[in-house]
Amino acid sequence: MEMNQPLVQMQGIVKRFPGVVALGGVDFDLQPGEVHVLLGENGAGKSTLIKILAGVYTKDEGRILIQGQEVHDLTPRKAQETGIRVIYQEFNLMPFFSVAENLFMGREPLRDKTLRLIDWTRVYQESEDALKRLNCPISPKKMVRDLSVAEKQLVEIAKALSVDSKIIVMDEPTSALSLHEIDKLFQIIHLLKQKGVGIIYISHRLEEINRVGDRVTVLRDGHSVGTRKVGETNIDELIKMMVGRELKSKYPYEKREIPGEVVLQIKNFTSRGKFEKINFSLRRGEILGISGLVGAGRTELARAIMGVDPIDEGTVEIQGKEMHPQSPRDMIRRGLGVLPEDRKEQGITQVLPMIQNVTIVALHRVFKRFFLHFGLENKLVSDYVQKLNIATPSLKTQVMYLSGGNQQKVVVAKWLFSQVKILIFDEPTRGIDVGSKFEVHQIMMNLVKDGNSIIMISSELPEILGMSDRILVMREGRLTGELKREEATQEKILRYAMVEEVMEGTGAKREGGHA
Amino acid sequence: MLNLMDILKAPAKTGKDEESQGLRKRVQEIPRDLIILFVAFLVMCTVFAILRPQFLHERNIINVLRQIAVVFILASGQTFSILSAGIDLSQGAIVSLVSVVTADIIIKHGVFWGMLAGLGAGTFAGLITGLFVGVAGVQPFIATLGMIFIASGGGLVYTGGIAIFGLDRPEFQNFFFVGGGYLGPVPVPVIVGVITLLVTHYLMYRTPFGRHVYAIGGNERAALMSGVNARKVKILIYTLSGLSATVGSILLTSRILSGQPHLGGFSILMESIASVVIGGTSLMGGEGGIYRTLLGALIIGFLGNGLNLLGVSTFVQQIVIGLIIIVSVWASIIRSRRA
Repeated sequence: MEMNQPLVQMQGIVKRFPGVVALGGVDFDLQPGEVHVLLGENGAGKSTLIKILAGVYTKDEGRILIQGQEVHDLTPRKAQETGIRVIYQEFNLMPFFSVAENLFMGREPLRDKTLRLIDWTRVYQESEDALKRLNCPISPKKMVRDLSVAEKQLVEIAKALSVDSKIIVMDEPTSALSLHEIDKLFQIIHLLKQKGVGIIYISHRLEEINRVGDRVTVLRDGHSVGTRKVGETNIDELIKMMVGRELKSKYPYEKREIPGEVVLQIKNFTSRGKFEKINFSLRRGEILGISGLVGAGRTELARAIMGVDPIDEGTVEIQGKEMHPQSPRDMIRRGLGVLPEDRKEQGITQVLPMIQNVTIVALHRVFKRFFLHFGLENKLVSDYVQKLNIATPSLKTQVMYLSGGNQQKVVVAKWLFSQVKILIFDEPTRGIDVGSKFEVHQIMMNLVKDGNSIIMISSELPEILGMSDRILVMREGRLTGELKREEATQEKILRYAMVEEVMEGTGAKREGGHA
Repeated sequence: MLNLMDILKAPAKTGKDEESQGLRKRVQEIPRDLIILFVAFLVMCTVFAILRPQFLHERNIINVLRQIAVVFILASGQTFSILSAGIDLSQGAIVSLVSVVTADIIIKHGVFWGMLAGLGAGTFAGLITGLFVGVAGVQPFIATLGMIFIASGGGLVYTGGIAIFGLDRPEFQNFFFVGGGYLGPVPVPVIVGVITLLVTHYLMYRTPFGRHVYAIGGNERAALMSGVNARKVKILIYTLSGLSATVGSILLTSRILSGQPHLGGFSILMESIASVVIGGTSLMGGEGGIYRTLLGALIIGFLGNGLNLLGVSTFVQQIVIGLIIIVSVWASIIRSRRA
């Protein structure tokens, strides 16, 4: 390790925000050709550290050396010039510009210096070359809006390479990718390593660390708990380092008798271009997992059941009553609720107090004799805050100040408050730290033990295997398999999820789905 | 339900009992920018009072409050639309339409029917806007922009473009009481303004409707997922906004005792929006409230009056108000960046 000059050395980094010390003296370094994984629960200081490296925040104390040279007063621009590139989860691409235009944004080659005409031939030629070097067959003329998430990510990587970035930060790069796309990303990461690029890799998926990482650094409460070589550690140790305690089991699943009476029956559900002829039933007290690749039509199915998007054919039967879902309002009244995949877009309202986020769904419960009763509202919601262990300074705190895990719990509290009996959890633990994940799973288990029923859509196989009583697998808009908990394995699910060799990108269905 | 709660057994960590904290806590919860704005208002009044002692004369204050009342009534309706991330540009046009309809019907059928017709016409115009926004999904800016032309055009067609006089006849003196009368020392419009404040407070903070307005403004998709009937809420918002313009119009018409097809021009609409914005209600929706709007209306009213007393021309006043609007929004941007 001493042979090469480290790409990055961050020493004793301190960052204070009003009232909190976000980083209390963190050391971190990155070698050329290395993938250094940064682990930690939400709020542990990962993004603060990255934002300091990217010049978004200024450090209060400490030193930053890039290739041995100390840098002062980093700004986002200066960081880019020194070869640092951060690929955020929400991409910095212009949706209505072509891939090539995005790649060359701000540094377009000129054909004529005086008239400042852009040399488009060169832009497209060089873009094509850059994408080829990454083995990715995207047309540089395609509009970014039309790309899949995985393709957008590749464009970001190509952009980073085209400005000769030596240091690439990837913030949860796999959170929205299908298994196949993840493989491809890992191949590219391997390619980058060979070129001597150093990669700082942030992820909540511990399973990935073995596959891509060389070293791991764990942050907890703004301090570095330790750095390990990937070969010399294991998942249990990392979890222990992250949460500061040992989790007995990763999933709080309890074996129990499923009462068996059918509470929800989906019949012949069809929405052309998204999913076709879906039939299944949900029993009381059951967790029904729905697995499949991203783009298989699971979220679209959930939205249709909830009455958000119209369907072409099919009915829902809830407790013996058959009907077409009309609107979320309609379905809530019939006892159905959904925790959407993108919490921030559809689950919560950032600017509103946490208490109002909870009660919005069933205000009639606190509207008595022509008045909303604040006392009653406070009392009911405080109960949920306690029972769900929601960490919030007060009931009136705006939800945007809560962590991802606590925001998710607010959504859960909302549905508990609405007293619905059937819940659809769409990617319930995406972007949530390990400790909160366990809590969310615990809450799900408690819910079904009390006679509620849950449909859980998840792209994480361990979560599907760990929490479901029964598993359905979807592929390209169709149900391809059903497995009991006892018989389910990763291999079987994957076979159902990708029976035929999956075609390039698996993007065909997704385009129809999100159009 | 309770049964379900019992088994969600996790230890309590935070979440204090809000009620026990009492009044002091509630005072502490007032946002700092609102306090700063209020202090700025007091400082402004103090300066005017020192420079021009007549600023504090009872007659002056009552006079200003009467003017503010009308603007505030319009702004209360405007607050709902802006809170829902919309806007109502048609309030001024509705003022004009209602003025001529009210005046005409009063002369033909008497005070009661005239006011009822005015209320009907203005509220109906608001309802139409609401249907376009809520059901058809037209952006509020466009729907209310269209309503400007429809309502003011309607007013002009109704009268052939000329003002309606004759409300000063003795049999209509009840009508003059509405905009020009007093209860004790208090002008009737001020009382109407206070009633508007109470009703708005109730709707905004004490009913599901108010919560739904905030939810739609804060995140419409999340509101829909939570079962909020956005359609119905939007129809109600613009109907209320039309109604508030109507009430304002009847007060004004009564005061000038004529039906004017140009009564609600550009300036009354702008003062309505400015009151909401200066108070700090966010045009992005979801944040703000009626007491901010009240403070905004007070600032605009007393600023204009103070500058008048100092002999500053109304043209210069416009420039000052323009600057205050921009600076107040700028201040709220700084506040949200810090957060």
